[in-house]
Amino acid sequence: MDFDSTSTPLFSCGLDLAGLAISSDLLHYSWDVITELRTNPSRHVGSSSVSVEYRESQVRNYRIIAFIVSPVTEKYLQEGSDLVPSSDIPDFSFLCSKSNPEFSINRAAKALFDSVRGELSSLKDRVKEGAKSTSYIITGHSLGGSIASLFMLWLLNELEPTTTRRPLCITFGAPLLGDSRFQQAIYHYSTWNSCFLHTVHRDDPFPSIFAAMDYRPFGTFLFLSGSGKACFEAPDSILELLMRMKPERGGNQDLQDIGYGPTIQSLRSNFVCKDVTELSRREIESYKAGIIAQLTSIGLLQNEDEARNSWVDKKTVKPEKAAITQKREMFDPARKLNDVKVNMAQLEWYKKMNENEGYAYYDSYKIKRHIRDHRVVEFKRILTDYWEKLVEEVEKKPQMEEVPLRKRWLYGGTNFRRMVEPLDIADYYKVKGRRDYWNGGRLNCYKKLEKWLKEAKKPDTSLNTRKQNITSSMTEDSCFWAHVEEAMIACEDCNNGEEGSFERLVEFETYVFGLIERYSVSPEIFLPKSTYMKWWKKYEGILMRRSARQPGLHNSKLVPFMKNGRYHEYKEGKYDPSKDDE
Amino acid sequence: MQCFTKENLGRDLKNMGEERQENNLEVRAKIIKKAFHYAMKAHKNPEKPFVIRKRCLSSNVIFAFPGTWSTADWIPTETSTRHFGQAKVNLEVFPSLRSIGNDEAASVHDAFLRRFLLIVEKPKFQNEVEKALKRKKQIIFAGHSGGGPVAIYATVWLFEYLRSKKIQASSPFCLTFGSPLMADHIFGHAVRREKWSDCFIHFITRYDIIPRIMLAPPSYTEQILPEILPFFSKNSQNSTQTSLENDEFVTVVFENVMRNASSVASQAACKLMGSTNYLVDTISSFVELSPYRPFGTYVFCYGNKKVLTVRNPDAVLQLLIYSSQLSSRDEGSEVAQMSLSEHLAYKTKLDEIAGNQEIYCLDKFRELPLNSEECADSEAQTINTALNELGLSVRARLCLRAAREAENHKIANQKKIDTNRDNMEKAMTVLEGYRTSCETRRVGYYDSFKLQKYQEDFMANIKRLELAGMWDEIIEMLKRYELPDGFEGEDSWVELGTKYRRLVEPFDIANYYRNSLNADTQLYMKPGSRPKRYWYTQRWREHKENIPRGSSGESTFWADVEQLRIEMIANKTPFNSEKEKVLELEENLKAWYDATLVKKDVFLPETTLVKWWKTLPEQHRASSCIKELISS
Repeated sequence: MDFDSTSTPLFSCGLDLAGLAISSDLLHYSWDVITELRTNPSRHVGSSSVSVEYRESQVRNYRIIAFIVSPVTEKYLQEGSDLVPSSDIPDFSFLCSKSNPEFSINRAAKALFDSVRGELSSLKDRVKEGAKSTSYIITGHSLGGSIASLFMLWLLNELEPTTTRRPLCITFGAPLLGDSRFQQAIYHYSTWNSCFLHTVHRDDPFPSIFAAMDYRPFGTFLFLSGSGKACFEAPDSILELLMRMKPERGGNQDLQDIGYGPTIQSLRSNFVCKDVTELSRREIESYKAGIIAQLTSIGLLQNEDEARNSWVDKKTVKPEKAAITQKREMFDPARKLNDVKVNMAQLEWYKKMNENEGYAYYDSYKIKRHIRDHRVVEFKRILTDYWEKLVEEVEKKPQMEEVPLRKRWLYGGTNFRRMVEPLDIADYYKVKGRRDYWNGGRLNCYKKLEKWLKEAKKPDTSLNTRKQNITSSMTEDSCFWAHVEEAMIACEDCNNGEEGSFERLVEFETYVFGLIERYSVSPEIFLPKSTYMKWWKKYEGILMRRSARQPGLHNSKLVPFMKNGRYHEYKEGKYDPSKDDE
Repeated sequence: MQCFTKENLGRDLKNMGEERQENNLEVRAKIIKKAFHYAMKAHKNPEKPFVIRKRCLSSNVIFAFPGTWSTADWIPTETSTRHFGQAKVNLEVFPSLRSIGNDEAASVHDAFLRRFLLIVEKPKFQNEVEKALKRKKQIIFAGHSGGGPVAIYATVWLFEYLRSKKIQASSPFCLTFGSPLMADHIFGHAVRREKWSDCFIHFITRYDIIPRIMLAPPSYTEQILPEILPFFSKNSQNSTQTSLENDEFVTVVFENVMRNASSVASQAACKLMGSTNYLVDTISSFVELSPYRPFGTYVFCYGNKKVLTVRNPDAVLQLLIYSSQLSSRDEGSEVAQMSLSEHLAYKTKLDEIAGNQEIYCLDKFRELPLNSEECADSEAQTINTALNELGLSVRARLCLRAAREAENHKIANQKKIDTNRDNMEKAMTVLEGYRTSCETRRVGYYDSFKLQKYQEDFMANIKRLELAGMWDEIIEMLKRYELPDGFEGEDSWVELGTKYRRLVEPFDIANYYRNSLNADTQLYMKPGSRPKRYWYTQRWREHKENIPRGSSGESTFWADVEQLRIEMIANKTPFNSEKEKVLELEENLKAWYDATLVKKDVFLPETTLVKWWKTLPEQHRASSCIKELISS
């Protein structure tokens, strides 16, 4: 349900999420496969004494792939507790982004993953194919859970989200895997983060083993105890709970002893029973009540008085609430789409008014001849803010996920680029001496929107349609005016006799005529006071001087088009390039 | 009045309880008991499609449908191919059972629907209904167990019948006892939208397994029903209650049904609570979660002669699970046995209700206390006692609160958009002014807007966009079912939507063809091109007026004109191959003009319509039905 972004969350649904995780039997069956694997290891891979094993099973209508690592002792974990930087893990470089260029993960997990990388790579390819028709659960126990998480990330990066079923990763008693930048990287991809369910038994020492170090959890944590269950999703509250439940432990304890199986079994048959949690304080707020009920349920709160303790509020209620609020306030482009449309209409009108007065809006904006040329700055700002933000959001998504998003915004984005970029070009070249807009001033959102349009390979509208609608059309190349400005500079250079400047002008000429032939430039450029027409006069002069020196040398299609005023036909959609006389 | 009113029965019963109007209560309780009596009588005559009780002096007629104890009637056909044996309802029989704008038909349990369709075909059934209507009797449909769903269909069928024949009659009533769930959330949404919901009263006992059984997946119910149904069959014939011998089997069945039902309730609760964690969806995608949901008023009979009535469907769903939880495992096999025996215990329960007046209505209490301790506030204490006796945990109470909040949220959403009405009206007044001023300029607003020549045209475009923003917000909420169920049936909104569509859609069409968004092959009328706000508002009117879908197209004729113009002028399609479309358009225009749905400014000489029309062959124009409109 969509609540107002300003409203604070009213309920914590951790109890129900935990309930669903258990009543759905996903935990139960995942643990079954792990147990089978442990009792009859079907295969051994890896050469070290500690080895990774895995098994794939069909359960109901889905498949479960389970990983275990054995034997693992606390001592082994302690020895490999340090972090390896992402530069040493090329397989996961896709997690790096501009805003988060590197991260680190646990050394032991990384080493084990490397030891079976080849096997897992072919397994991944198989799952990729299978996920088109089957749902997969990737599960693992202890360090096997870490391998499951890594394998899952590897897999997620390659799954096409629109044609495959989303897998789920369930770990049991896995130690924390990476640092805060690793967590951040996964958080970037909100759908990825919600594919991880980490199960932690209250008596299991391993999940909390790195809790006091530079590690940070990601995904959702399901805490179990003999008496109950709870779900938390904010990294801060998860860390707090891991620290609080840190059980007594001996140095070489084998983790086989922790009773995930029986606990799940007993919770599973307990749905007939009423939850015994009682709250004694009256009129308690629903959200906090939900959290206290969970903490009590897993035995972290003994009595009501403890709930008054500040850690409950500060370390659990607050971060959990913040996590929900943050997700609700996430940038939602659809919500602002209409404001954007109104501003685009304003610009369209601005273009029209200028045309009525004989100006291309590019020029009017550049010389600021009117109060409305100043007012339009605000419309431009609103639009640019919106699209910069949208492009940034799309870029944050993993490669595969961004494609459908791009398609959705392509139409509006293209209109925006064609309408607004000329104004940015005007601002850029207003400063004397500036050159090369493409590398000197072009905003990222323009570059990306143009690139996406090319990649989408949308079929062009037909020449006929473009002819018919030429009066209201916009120039297809949003950088057209930058080309014109560069040509103006080339004219000056040419007059100064600079080497190669004439060739630049000829190039520009060909470029412009190409646009004209395809009816993809707005007729506003032929308005008498436009920079383009100024360029033409200058260029005509240059040509005249040259032909006086070397007659007949310059042969082009644009020159007769301009000289004979054929652009008047163009404006009405009546110009036909094939019927040119020269 | 000695009959049911369309009031909420729960509220009724409660009021009567408070007022101690013994006489009245007795009558009502009598009717309920009568209905139940006939429902049980129907069981004993399974060869008859229904039994009927009519008395000259009585103001009502009771139709009772037998439940069926044959497994085949409970298990949908082709379970393997269909999710939970759902079938889309037959919209020809039940045209209202859909969401209007979203245009989704309700899904129902296919086995029960088939049984009803067999009954409704029988002339005897229709004859009896018509006779009762003629004698101005109130019709009450009743059913116990598997007879419940049939009674529900019969009631909806009668509502639809009255609506389509425009018959004024006292509204039918439906009383079910221990009925299984049989329809998805759209069914309930539609019934509430049509304001029929108060006429469905479902009695259930605290532990009865049948009202919960459809929350378990069919793969499981298929296994257990052949074991359970014969037990009911035996015991419903003679009143001596025996228990199913295999204690362990019963316990396992109860556990499994409860676990599966819990999954459904937990997932629903996460959504109610506004969860932003997509893990809920990820997990749900792995398991079969029942789509069946309660609707109408539920009367939970519990404890010692006590009754809790609940209308909020989300709260009912949660209560179905939480009210039958055990307080300790020791009760396990005892409660499991009760889950079967209570299905046949309605007679006792109803007798108890008649003698006692402790009736609580959950929806009436403002505050739901979270703890079982005594409350200072006497109102809070009253409901707390009821919640305690139903054995509701903190978690259950939080779910009930969330159900309440979700309902409040919908109401708040509507309040918010109701305040927008003024702005909508204002913007439309501006556009109407624009329309008039274009008319005086002899171009008509469609073409004037399309040309976008003057400041006025531009201002109209801004108004168009402002309105689009406000309407799109509504459509988004409807898509997510975040407005009160009755919204799409509200006269004032249907009217405003129709006015908006007729006035403003031509602007959107003009804009579409102006910007050549019709890149060669794209049509405005395709989904994806025509804005949703117009599909929705058109459907609202069509539903309200009870006319076929697509028949209220008076706002889109410009798109037809543009399309024909492109075909014939740009693509040079000869007139003869488009002739039928042209004729249809002309006839529609004439009819709409006569009905004043289309105004005369459409026929001004400079409009796209007239300019195109004049290119048609002379011969055709001479006999055209809009000839005079254009020349005048």
